[in-house]
Amino acid sequence: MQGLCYALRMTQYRHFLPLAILLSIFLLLSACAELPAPVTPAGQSLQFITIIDPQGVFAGSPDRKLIAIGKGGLQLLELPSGEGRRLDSQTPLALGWRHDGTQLAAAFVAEDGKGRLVIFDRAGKAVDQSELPGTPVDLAWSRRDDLLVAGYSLRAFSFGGSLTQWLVRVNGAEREQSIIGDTTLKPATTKAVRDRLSHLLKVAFSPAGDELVVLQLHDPPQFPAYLQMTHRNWQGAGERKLLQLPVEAVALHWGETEDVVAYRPGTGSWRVLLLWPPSGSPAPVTEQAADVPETWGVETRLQHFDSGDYLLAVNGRLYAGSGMPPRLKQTDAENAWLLRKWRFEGLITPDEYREVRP
Amino acid sequence: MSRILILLGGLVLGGVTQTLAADTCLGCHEKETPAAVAQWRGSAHAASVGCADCHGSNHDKIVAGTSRVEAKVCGRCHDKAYHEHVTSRHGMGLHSGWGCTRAMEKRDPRECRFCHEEGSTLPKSTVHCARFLMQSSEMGEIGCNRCHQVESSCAACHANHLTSLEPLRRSEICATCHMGPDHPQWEMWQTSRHGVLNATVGEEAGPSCQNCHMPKGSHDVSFGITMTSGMDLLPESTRKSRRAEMLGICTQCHSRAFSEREFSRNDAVRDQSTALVARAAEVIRTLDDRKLLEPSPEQRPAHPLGGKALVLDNQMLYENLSRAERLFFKMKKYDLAKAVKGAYHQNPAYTHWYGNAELKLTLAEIESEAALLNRVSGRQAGTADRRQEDGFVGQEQRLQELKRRFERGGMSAEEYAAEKARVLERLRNEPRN
Repeated sequence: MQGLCYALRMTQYRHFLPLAILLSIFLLLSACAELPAPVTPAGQSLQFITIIDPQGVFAGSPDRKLIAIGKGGLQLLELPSGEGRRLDSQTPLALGWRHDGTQLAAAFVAEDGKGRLVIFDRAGKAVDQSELPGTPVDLAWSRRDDLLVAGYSLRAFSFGGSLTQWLVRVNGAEREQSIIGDTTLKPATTKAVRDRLSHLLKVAFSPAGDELVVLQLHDPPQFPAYLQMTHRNWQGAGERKLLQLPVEAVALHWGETEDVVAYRPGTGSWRVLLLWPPSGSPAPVTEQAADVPETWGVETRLQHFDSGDYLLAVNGRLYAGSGMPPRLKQTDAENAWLLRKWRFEGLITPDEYREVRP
Repeated sequence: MSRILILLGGLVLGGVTQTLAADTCLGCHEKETPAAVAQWRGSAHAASVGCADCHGSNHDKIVAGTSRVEAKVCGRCHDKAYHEHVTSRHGMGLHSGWGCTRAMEKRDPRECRFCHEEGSTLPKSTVHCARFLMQSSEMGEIGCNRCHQVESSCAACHANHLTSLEPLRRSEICATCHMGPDHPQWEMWQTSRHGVLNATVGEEAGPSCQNCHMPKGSHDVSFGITMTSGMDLLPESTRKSRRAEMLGICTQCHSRAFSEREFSRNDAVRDQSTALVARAAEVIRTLDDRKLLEPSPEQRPAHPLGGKALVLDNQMLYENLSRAERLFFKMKKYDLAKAVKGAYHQNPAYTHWYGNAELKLTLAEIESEAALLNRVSGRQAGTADRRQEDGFVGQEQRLQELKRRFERGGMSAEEYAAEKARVLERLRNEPRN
């Protein structure tokens, strides 16, 4: 309960409420991981769905009738029957349903490092397939039906490695690729990280899908390598540098409100990041400690539906729950997209954004 | 021991073979460069100053062009003239004209000496010239250094081996550099009353350049000058003392009241002319705020000193410009100089037709260009209005324009916040979902 109390104390930031509930759920789960049906603080029970790979990906359709799971390939489960079908023999690294529930996107990587993006219809039929520039890390559909896939490519040489992080955006026939990180790695760093880059180069997309937080790997000469957390709005150019972290697996979640990101380094505790703190804050980015125990691991995953229902994967078990605050539709308004772009480009201040947003 | 002596002997002999005694020069040079020798023989130097006194005795360096006779060599004997020179505007000729080694791959390495002491990487000056940096080595040598070498070379005005002062007292000696579109002092003097009288009657009726700017043989060519070479005003205290200096010259022929009245008019023309240039600069900065310059500074090759920023000051280039900037370059570099210097040199045509009229015509052209660009982009110059169909794009452009204007100091924080509030209010009143 400490996590909930912490968050509720911060009532001046109403956006923390869903995060508080989420933190409490994780607390309970971590304490009762072996119980078949944990109960939320609000008295709602979580429904166990299936066993999944601890680091496997999943995506529930918006109507909660279908769940795609990466487990020994790509499986599509129907609820509540639990009947499953195999859509692809390869296990995806990222999954996501379009917001109208008509399409499922799955991103794969082959052993030769070639990435693949496949779009399935609701019946499980592949309707489109294209190449990706490398290994996918995460994907999301924006509220405007942009399909966003983030990933990386590593070219290893005897003198080091060339690491490029990319973002592919697809919307109908429109497809664009941008660089979201580009660095040269020392030979020792290349050797040390090449097999765990998917766990290091995490990406989190905002609920509307127009912004993302990216972990970049930096490896400057004469200094140790580090992870640089950056913030982007893909409608505009440039990035905001947020903070630096040691090179270890990091959990990264964008809160269900616009401006809150929670992260946890592998050996650290959970922290909350306000991306646009009110004016007068001492730093452009305000970081707060989240009072959450160590048992909330970096592999924990959450999918939040508009209604307040959610899917939660923890300790290799997938649960369905409800009772989180519903998403605010206003954040999807055209005005809001534009205002966030202007805020990111420094055309308006965060305070002006808060004052004018729908 | 004998081996050491032999070794030392070898070194001494080696040095002798590398170093030519001064009295050996004439033997060859009377055949190789007889006119130069004849000039020297006819000069005041022939009595006591030999070749090696100025050129040194290392023939290899002389042939290689690395043993140039610098002004400080002359200063060993001509101490007063040297110190007047180095503290005057001529003594800053290279400081204001030379660039650094950022463009070295295109440059003649021997040019290093102009900016660096021998064997030192420390520059003599921190002032660089972007225009010089953009030129080829050949163009820099002929088009820039031939004049700007006046800082370190007395021979820029004095003939190399002649010591006669007669040609140096004539205005023609200044004409090589002080002419042309950017500072036509020679032409405007020549066709002024001073110049015409000088040509028709003589120096007693029409003063030469030297009479006013180098009185009594002074090498301080900044005498009486109240502006920098970039036409910026010097500090007031300096201006007062300089103006007093020049009034002292004018009042040798004119009454003090007349002279002061003329200077007052000249100063007014200067202020009116610089105001026209400032107005043009503001039009162009506003176009840049609105991203209407084509190519924009971001689209061009980086300015050697200013990078991707708009540069309109004395480091402005004449390469890779938009049409409005090309017109502005003409205004600032050519027309302003003609109007202002024409006034101070008492030349009506330069002041009016070459200067003032061109300034105003060009300003009108720039403003017309801006109006056209604004119309094409759907804006009205100087207002926050936009056409309805511009929608969010127009509002975003307006915010970008305001941000750039605020960041360059074109508006206060309060004005910036108020203008932004107007744009946001419009957005608030026109929600689109």
